[in-house]
Amino acid sequence: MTVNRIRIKTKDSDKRVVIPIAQDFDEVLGKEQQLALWDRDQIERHTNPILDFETMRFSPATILPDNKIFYSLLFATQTTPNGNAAMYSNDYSWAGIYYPDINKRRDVFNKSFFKFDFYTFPFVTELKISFSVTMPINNGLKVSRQIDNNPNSPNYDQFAWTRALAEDDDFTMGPYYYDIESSDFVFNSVGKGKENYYIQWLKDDFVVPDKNFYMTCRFFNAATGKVHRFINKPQPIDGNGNPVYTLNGQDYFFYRITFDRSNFTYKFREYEQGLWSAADIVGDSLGNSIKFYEYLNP
Amino acid sequence: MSFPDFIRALRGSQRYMGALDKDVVIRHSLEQTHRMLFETERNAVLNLNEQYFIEREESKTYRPYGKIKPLVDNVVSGYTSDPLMCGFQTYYYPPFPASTSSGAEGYPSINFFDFFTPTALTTTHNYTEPNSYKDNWLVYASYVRGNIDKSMRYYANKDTNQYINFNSRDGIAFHVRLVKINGKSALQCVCSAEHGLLENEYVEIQDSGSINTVNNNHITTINGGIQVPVYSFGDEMIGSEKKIFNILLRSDVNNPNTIIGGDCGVFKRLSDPSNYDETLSRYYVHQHTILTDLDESVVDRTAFEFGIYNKRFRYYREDHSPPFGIGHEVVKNQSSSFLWNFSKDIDVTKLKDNYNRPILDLYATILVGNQTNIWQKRKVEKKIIRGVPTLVAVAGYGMGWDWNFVPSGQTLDSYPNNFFSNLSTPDDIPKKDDMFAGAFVEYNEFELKERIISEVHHALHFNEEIFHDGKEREITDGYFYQPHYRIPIRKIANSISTYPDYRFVPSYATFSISEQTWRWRNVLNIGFFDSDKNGVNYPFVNGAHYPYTNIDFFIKPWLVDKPFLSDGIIEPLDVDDCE
Repeated sequence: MTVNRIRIKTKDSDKRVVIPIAQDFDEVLGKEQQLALWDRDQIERHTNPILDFETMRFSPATILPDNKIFYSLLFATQTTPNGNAAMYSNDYSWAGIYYPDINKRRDVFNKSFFKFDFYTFPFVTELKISFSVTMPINNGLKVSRQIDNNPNSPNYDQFAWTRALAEDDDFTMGPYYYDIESSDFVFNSVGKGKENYYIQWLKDDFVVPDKNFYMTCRFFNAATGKVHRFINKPQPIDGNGNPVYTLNGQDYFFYRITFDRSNFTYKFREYEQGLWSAADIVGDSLGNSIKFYEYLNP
Repeated sequence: MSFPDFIRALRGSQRYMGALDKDVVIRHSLEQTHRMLFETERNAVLNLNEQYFIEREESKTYRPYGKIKPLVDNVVSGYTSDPLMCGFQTYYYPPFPASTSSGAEGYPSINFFDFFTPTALTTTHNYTEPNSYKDNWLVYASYVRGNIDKSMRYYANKDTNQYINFNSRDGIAFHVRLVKINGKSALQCVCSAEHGLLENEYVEIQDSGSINTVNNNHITTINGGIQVPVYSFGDEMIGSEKKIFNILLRSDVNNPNTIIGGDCGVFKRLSDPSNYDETLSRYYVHQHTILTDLDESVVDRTAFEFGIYNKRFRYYREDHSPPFGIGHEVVKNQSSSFLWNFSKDIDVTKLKDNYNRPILDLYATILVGNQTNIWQKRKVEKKIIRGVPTLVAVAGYGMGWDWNFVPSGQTLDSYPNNFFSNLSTPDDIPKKDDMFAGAFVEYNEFELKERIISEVHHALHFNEEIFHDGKEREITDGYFYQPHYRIPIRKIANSISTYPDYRFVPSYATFSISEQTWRWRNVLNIGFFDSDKNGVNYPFVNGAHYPYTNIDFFIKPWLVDKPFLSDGIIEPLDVDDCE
């Protein structure tokens, strides 16, 4: 029998068993990358946080096409309040700034101003001012006032009267009038009276998220050095007809402004705790102007 | 697992003669190829400069702002009987109008050109104060998104009405003069705009279906061919080198040149005929896309800034200002300044330009608003002339280039009408995503660079219903202005980068077949200048960029012949050896 003589030789080398357990996978599943991002984020937060302080002009939101804004800041004509709006006037002479001062642009007129302070909360004990707007009174609405020729009157304006007389061909001896500023204000988007038409406020709500602010009014009087405080309603009287001097700040001190960042407008409402004024918006016409009345101390 | 019985395990020494016993070892290496993480032990080196640089480079938010100075010489006069304009907004030639039923001759007041209208200027002007900054001019932001083709016209001689019609893709138009240079016959080619040619370069004469000439011949070959080397530049005029190139005429070619003076042609620049495909320039018109709506623009006065030019005005007393009898002042010329910006931030992250690059320029786009209706807005209308209805071409808004605002009432190019919004203010106010034609541009693929040949201009003609020649006919003279103003936000490098592997080149790189590599120009980092002027630097605060642009907004009269062949004829003073 012929058979193949096959010899099977073994190799004398080491045998290997490969156990397929992968060990070089990314155990942390990109965690390292995420940590790098986290690093960067932390650095950005702590070294140079981006706060957007860009401001934009906000214009009044009113329904009228010319959307002007109207303020009436009224002085008391009596020393004791009687609860009646008729006792307030837009005439600076009640504050000690007389017609000749206005007509001649004396410092007592030029350096007097209204100041509106805007607070985040309407709570008198927690007032935190956010921004202020000053309103020089030489931007006021001009009204016709009679030139006073009575030497005993504080409004006596001999110079203006004499000049008016000189221009008077008929020599009627008056009465003569001139146009001088009142404490009513009308602002529009073009021309002279636009100083407080636009209110510059933060474009983005990241730094200051509030959109409502509460506005108070004060008048800094350069003639007397006095600071007049103003309230949003005529100062009331009680049931017995006696003037009320102690007022609830939340009801009396504030107008509320609301900024609308979607179209960069603002609107004012009279603010009263729990009770809104009838108008959704104030300041859009002279009859519905933002009215402040002088507050009288006893 | 078990082994079958017939398999026996043998010791090494029993397997064959001379074999030895041997230990068999299975080694299993459990190696750890990662290191442990200690999350609490992270360190980062703070470098504020570097951090600022990173944040600045990554921010794509732009708040462009700037100043506009409208500059106009109010020189085109006419006749108006519109009561408001006649009463208050006309700078009369003396005499002033006699009564309410009469009109007046004079100049329109500067209020028609200003960025604010103080009151209603005409009876058709629907005036409201808050919108008055949008009555005359509309301010937008735009960018160049693509390229388009646009038909154009170039007048070789407007007196003899010789001109050539061509398309922007054909190249730059020229007309020729036959001259002798150094005793040799040559062709002097006068271009419609700067030709952009360099020494030792070629021109390729174009002959396409969109080119046709009127009252002259179309040059299709020179010296028997279409690729011709440029011999020299300019004529005897100073500054003419940029607009005139000369070609020597060869007498030895088989087809003698039959070109006569005044013939027109169109050429493309060819810098290297051996690399024709890549060095032949392309020509096109930019296509702008509006990025903002009109309500997002803010324009305001620049306090008390008035230009250096004198205010010219007159006061008309009550008895000199019928029909209303109200004393008033009319200003004819005054230059004031205005600030512009946008209430909306412009995010350029997703914007790509016409070459797929991140956008290099934003544009402030100023378009006429025409709420006063002082400007003509129609192009063709049917009018009754002496009782006969007639189609009359009224040159309204139209587009023009540096070379075709010449007098004689020539018709301007119309807007492309396929997918563009025609400018038809005040009836139709442009809005976001509307498109407008921009500058006429040359692009050379080998140089990877655009060259502005001509900015686009828009024309203004007086509306003959309001302001006319006294016989209710059109005043042929008018004004024109440049609508798009560049706000550079990035620059590309002066040098070209190359790399053969597509995986490591930016997406806007192009492959050069002649060089077998990818080529591109790097977009420079903000604040980096690779030459004196090539680079941008602008403030970065609030997480946004604030590029400032000063715009001299020229409203030029379309009245006098522009020196469009040469920049000037006054030669520089001779300096002799004694000085």
